[in-house]
Amino acid sequence: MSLSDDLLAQANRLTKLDPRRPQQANLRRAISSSYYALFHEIAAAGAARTSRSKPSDPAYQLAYRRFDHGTMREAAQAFIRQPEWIRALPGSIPPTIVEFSKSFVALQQERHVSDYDPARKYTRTEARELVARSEGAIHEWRSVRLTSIGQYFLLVMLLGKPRS
Amino acid sequence: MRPSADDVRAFSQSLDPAFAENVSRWDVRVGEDHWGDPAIFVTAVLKDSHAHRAWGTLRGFEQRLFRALLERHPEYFPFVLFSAESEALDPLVPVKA
Repeated sequence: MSLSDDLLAQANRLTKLDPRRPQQANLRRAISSSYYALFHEIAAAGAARTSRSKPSDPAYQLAYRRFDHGTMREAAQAFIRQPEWIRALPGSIPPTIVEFSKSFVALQQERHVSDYDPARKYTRTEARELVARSEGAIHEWRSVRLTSIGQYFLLVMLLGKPRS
Repeated sequence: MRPSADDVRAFSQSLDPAFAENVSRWDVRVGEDHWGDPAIFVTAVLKDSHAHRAWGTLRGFEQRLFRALLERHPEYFPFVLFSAESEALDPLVPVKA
């Protein structure tokens, strides 16, 4: 089991606690874990790809820590909006990467709200939908992560948009 | 031009009349995301009695509304969420996908 799988399992468990009246803290942690499942899925794949080493290797750890939430958000937005430098890529962008990118941006936004907005109240339906969205995004991402466009996506998530 | 919440609500509601039957109300806010960029937030609050029935259709509707809002207001990033009037999705009741 990867860290992202563990985080998703944790998120699912948290949404099932308190059958009658869920505690906001559990729903908030479920949403936050759903975002971090996406983050760590990409960071782990990117670190393995760029360092060509294992998690115990310092090169892997250095690469892992280079992933930055803001850069990743900008990269995901680019794959959604598809500016010229994305459209110039050979072939079309697989819908799975676009959908993963949308989920990444949406869950990052909701992670911020769930962690920092004390006025926000979540329903179980909201939390479950966001967890399901993260699960679906990871499942679909894994189907394209070894393709050349999948590898390029990882690179853009790590480094941001290329210099013109 | 900055879209009004009322316009976005009316547009969201009219996009898919069949899906809209599952919705109790549309919570809409036009503002900024946590990075300070322009954003539209739409939360479709499902009727408790329809939440389980609608569950399998949420992703498809989200994709259509996201794309339509982005085309209509390209400078605003759309965030489409789903909630329910209460705790409609009881984890002890199996959800039909």
